[in-house]
Amino acid sequence: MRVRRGAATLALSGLALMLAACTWAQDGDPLADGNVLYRSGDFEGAAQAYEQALEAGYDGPRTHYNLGNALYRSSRLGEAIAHFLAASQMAPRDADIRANLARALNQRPQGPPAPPPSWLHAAADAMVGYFTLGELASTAAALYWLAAAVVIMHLARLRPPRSLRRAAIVLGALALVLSVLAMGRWWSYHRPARAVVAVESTGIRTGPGESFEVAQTATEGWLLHVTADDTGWLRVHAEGGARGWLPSSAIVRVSAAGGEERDGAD
Amino acid sequence: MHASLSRDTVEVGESVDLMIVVAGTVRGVAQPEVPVVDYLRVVSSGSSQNITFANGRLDSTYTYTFRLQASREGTYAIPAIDIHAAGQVLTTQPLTLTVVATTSPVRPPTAPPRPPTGRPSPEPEEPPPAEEPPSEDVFASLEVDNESPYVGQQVTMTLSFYQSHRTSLLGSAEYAPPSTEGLVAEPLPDPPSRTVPLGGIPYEVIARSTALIAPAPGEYTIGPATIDFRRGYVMGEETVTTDPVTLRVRPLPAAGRPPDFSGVVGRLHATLSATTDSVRVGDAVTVRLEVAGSGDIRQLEAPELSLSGPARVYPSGEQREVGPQTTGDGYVIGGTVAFEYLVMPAQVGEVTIEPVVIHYFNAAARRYESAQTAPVTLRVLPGEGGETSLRSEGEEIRYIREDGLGLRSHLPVTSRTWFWLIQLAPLAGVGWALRRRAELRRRVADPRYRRYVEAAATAQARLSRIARAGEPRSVHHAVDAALTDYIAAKTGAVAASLSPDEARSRLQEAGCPADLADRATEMLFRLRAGVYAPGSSTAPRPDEAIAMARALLADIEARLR
Repeated sequence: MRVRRGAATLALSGLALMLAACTWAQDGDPLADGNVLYRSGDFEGAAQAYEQALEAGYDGPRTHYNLGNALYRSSRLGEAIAHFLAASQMAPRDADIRANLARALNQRPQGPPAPPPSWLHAAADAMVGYFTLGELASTAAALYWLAAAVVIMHLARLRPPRSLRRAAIVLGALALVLSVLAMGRWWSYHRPARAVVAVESTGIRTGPGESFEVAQTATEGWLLHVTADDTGWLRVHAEGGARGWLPSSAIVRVSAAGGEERDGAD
Repeated sequence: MHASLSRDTVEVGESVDLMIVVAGTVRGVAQPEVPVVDYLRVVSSGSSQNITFANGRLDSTYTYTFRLQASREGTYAIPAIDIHAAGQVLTTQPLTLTVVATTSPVRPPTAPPRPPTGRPSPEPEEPPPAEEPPSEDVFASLEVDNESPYVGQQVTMTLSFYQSHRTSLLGSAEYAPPSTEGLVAEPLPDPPSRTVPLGGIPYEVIARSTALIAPAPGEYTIGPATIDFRRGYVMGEETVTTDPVTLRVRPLPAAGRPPDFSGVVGRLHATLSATTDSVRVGDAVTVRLEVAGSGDIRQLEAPELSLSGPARVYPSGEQREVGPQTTGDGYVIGGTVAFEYLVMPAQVGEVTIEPVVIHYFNAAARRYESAQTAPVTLRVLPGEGGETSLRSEGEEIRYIREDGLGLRSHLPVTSRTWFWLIQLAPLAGVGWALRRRAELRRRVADPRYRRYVEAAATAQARLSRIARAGEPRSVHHAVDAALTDYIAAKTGAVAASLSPDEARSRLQEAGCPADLADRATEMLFRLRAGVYAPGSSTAPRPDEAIAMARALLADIEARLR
């Protein structure tokens, strides 16, 4: 009786897998329409097709990357940067995404005035930017577990070898550093929300309204952090240090709905 | 973005240029439309575009020029003009134009009459037949030079106002232009007024010419046009009306139409030139394609250049100067359209830009013809650093991806509750370790406690070490010793003086039930019988003794733990 039930379960699982495979074959690549339009030079049309794929739930790095390309080719630089950033967040080591993001940032008409970052800041940025939040957090957790195991052995007078105790100190320190980096990455991507200026130029005002004076002019492609929202106006902190208010119509937010790439075969 | 007028003040009939310049990184600027302003008309228009690359940055400058002509004095407000660029709407500032009366004497439009006629006249300048004097002193005629043109072919429409010299008018006549619905209308410069004799009576003729182009085959009705005038202060306003004119527009012949026909009906010639004939790898040279001639060449689109060698081509600018062009017979719409390209050779050697061919339809010859340029050859030298080919890395964005990257995202592990819960597990381990550490310290500090808690483990270990196949007496002795030491440790007695009966009473004092204490006492008696009376029938077998002792230990431990 038990053998029969197992066989039936196996058969049902196989059927479900076959149905899933058939559905995939019928649906095909959800980005195919956009890719065809892109190849034909209809970049606006391709951008629309990719946006539809995003709305349909295909919010992985490939969709954001291709959409960023189509927007870049349509001279919508700010929006392109936002989507390259979203793709980079999910697949930070992908060479194409990194190259196109750098290219798009260099194409900005005028970057925000900013002092050069210190080597420590630059190194931390590079380190944080090279891994996903999940990778940093998982690695930090694994090192924390190893270090904790040695500490527990020591506390319980199980007499771990001296070499293991030294390794635990190193692992613990490494776990601490990775935890700080993971927190930095979590903070930079989730709180406050990232955004990019998407219009040719706009004034960063001292308050939420046209009546407030313009403190600084932001141009297309400036990277921002949104720190507050007030009925159509956003309080922002620009990468160059400028703080103030911008109309929400002038920016595009970097998508943070998803998080990380699911897997390449998807 | 900036809008300006070439002059702020003009005389009636003079032209002024309205220039709109859009500059910056903006791209995809659509042709702006000048709002309709009464008595101000757009005589011609032109546009140009320039793109420059500098430090990896692409800058564009779009320039649109509109030539305006005012027909009445006054102050004209040109409203703000909307310009659409890449999804944005840019707006110019409003402008003001002052039009003053002409300083030359203005003649009232007096013209000798000829009866209104719908007859087409091949030559509008030709005086009407003079055999019979016209019945009216004032009349008008509307004529076209070709009633059955091809699609895209220019037709010149002439509205003529005749006033006899015998009649004088008060002020200027006002005319309403004829309707040209469905046709592209382009005002032509006004021909000078002239005097013609009609039936022996001199008539003053004032004409207005307009170029018409039909975008599709079919019948188009032009007019009628009306002209209002007064003969004196006390006279009422009079109106003369022309007959309407019908155009029967023919389609272009299908026979012989080239697949890449440009759509221009007229006559064209084209030239191709480069700013230099040699260029280094990595540098760009500007190549200019100039197409000039008659016809509505505003519709020409930049053709793609065909190159024989490795090079990159970027469209970099356009200039369009299209408007009425004078010919021996009058005016035709035409001009020059120039397309500029940046050509960046990618490899040392030669790059030849193949001849550019532009096909048009010659309406006079009724056939398709071509304007062809000569080829342009560029000599490509090594770059400043001696490089012989152009590196592609980083120059353009990388291509879209069709695989290798995921299509969906998922929440990072830090968004899962279980991830944070399992991080608490090491804390539980630390708690266990601290408890164990305290336990070990207590055992060191209190030997009696240590003896009590370790008694069972010690006894079990001793039982495990007894050889089952050993000599029965020694087995019974070892089991008796292990059991006696265990009971002494658990009850705080001295093992050496612990008899079976004393064991019973101590176990009962310690909390063991009577039956368990009896079992222990009996077990000790039987073991000691095996030691002191070998072969006794009450002594258990060695293996049985070990098993019974283990079971007894477990039961006592369960009660006294």
